[in-house]
Amino acid sequence: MPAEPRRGPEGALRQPAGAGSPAPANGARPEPSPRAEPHLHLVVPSRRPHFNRRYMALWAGLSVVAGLALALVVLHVLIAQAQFRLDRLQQQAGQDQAQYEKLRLSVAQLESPARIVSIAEGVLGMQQPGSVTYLPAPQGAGSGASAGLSSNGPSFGSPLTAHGPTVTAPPGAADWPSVKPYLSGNP
Amino acid sequence: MTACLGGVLTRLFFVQGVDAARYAQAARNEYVHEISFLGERGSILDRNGNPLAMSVPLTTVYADDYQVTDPRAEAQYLSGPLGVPEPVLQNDLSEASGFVYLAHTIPDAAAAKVSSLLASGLLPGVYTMQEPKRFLPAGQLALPLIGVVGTSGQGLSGLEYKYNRLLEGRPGKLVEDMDPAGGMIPGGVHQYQAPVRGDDLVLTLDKPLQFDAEQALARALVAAQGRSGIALIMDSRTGELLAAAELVTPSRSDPVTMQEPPALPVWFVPQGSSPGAPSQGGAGRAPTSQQVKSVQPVEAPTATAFTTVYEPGSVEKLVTLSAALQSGAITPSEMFNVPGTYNVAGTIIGDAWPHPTLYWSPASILAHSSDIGTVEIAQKLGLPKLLDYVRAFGIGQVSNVQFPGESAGLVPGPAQWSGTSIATIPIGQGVAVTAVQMLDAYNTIANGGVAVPARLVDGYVDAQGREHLFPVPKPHRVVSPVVAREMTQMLEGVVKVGTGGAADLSPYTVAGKTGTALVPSPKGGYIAGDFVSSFAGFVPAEDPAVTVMVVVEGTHQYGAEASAPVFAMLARDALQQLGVPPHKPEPPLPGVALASPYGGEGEAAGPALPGLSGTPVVRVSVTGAPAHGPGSTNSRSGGKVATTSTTGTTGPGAPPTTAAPGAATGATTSTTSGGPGH
Repeated sequence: MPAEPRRGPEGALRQPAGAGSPAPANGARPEPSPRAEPHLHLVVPSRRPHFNRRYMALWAGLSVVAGLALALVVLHVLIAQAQFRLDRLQQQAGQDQAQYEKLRLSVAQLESPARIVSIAEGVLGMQQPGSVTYLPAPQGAGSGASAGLSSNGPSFGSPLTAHGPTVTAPPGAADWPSVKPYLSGNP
Repeated sequence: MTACLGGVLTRLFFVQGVDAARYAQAARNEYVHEISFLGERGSILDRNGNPLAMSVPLTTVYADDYQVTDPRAEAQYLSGPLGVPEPVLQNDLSEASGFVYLAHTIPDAAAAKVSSLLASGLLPGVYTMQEPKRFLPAGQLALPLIGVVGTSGQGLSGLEYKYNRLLEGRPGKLVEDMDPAGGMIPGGVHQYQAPVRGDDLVLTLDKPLQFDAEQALARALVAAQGRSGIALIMDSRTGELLAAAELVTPSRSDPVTMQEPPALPVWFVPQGSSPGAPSQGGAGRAPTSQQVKSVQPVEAPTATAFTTVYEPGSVEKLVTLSAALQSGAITPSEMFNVPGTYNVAGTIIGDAWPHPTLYWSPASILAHSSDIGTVEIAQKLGLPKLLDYVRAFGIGQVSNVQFPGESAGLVPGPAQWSGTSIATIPIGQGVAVTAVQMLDAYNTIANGGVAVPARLVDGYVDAQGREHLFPVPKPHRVVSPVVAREMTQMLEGVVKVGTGGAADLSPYTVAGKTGTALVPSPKGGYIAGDFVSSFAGFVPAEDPAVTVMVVVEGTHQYGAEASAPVFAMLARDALQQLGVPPHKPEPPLPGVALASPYGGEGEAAGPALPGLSGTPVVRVSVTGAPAHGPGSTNSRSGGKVATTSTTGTTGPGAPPTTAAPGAATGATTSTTSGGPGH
């Protein structure tokens, strides 16, 4: 009679020693080894773990679907929010661009010669000078550096002074004494 | 039951199968909206980048009248802010068209009111959008050149028309799914193609000088009671037009309010100014009370400097004398007997003033604008050669600017010549020019005989800010440098001792010529006392910086009176603007007879320009030796000419120095001016 499997302390069915080992080639029964004595015991099969796994898988699947749906909703909400923000920004950019163009127009209108002359003459009481005074450049001075004249052509120097340019004192000009020495005796 | 089911299935087959695309498209049309955006029109800038015309987006109000619930109530709300009568709005809101404009480009204040009404939900079906509107920030400055833009953003005239493709840009497009409230459906179709802004056109005009030119011309038109006027300032070296003023004096029978915006007076009355004391000198003076009461000039409806031809009169003599000198028909020292009257092909012609037979050089003929002397020169040249040079100077062909509607002028061909053509064309009658053509002719002499084509547009700046310059046309030689210098000296004589004294700009040396032409009558012949008075010239004569042309049409005054003072004003302002100092006068050319003074000439100098040179005192030195009498030599033959000798003082009204044949003609002039201290 073969040895009955023994139960382990936990009731687990233990396999006899050597049960998993190959049989000797000569067919002789192997001697049971006292060291490899199995601790065999019966395990009552339970149906709950199988049920739990399916249940969990179902719940997991549902959770994933719900999560995905929620994520999709959140994504759409974010997209909608971003779209509204984009609309606002585009509207703001358009308004700022329009404002910039209007400010450009205002600057151009403020720089209008008609407005400047109107204020200068009409409000500030400025007048166009009654005469133009040309200052001859000092001897030796470069043409471009003389009295703010440009470097086009020769300087307005002594040769012209000899002919007597039109030089008249602006009426009431306070700086006339400082100007006069440059006029080479004219008038 | 089966029949019903069959009917439903059949209908389903057609709806979902056969007509599926059509229904799908109809559905898309309900929620897919396509909106087009006009590309912002580019600006028109002056040479320094100052905008002369620019577009600014403003609010436009429109409605989807299918969504309008109460047209009457909404019309009541909108009527005030939009400034549109309530019945009109109510009618628009009830059109059932799906889209209707209620108001274009309304002011910001009105747009704010509409926005608040929209925010409060009182205007279902009413929407706003931005549309560009064209503005002229400097007023109507240079309006004839710039032109006008229609409500659709298309250039209709002037440079706006010619460069419309550059300026208009490319429209943009937005395709998106929209809900019934007009909001975008998130996640739906959204395609946006941004509009591309048009390029900015850069002109050669200088805004302050343009203003100066218009103000000075307006004053001249009122003073001379002219119908219209043109003032052109050109950079002599480059041919760039710095200013082009074109004004007309409106009359009740000839309104000039066809332009958009309506023509406004060029002048303004500064607040607080004393209208009785206009200041002098540059531009922008307050008009006198008398001037304010008079009809004020307005911008011309077209760019008359390019589009309008006129008979130039004596300014044309520059071409005649240049042609004669260049072809060798005359020499600058040659003397001519100029009788009081002259018979040409049976027609007796005379000068503008009676005189005995004079013995004059070409310089004197030009200085005193003798028609008879000019005709004598032209007869030596011959009409075919003269007309060749007329064309060589650019008359009879459109200018380089190629302005829309520009005229080529009228130069008669051989088939149109008559026996008196040799007496009319040399003095600027029987030939028609534009002001720009005549300006080009004078600028040719200013450039030493090289024609530098006029330019009005420098280039453009694209949407990325890159500058693109238009190619500069090649200059070409018309007359030799020697002839140009000789002509310059003769033109100086016009201002020093001749008819152009009012253009004197001492200490600058001015070279120019007056012109007074009769105006043709529609009934044939000419209108007595109705002139086209002009002055053209350049300054400084030694190294020309600016070339200026002033034309006053429909006046009773001569060019010396109506146009020469304006020339002086504009030339002075331009020289100051460009920073050009007076130059040392060059000595007279050897072999070129100088103009001799003559009292009592027809084109008397106008009043001295206030603030420029005071009362001009012209001292003229007349040589004692007959250097240029018959048989005398000149520079071309290696001869020498005396240029200094005794001095005699003369001026307008002084005894004439008419000399008999063989008398002294080589004269030198020196100009001094007396200020208050003299």
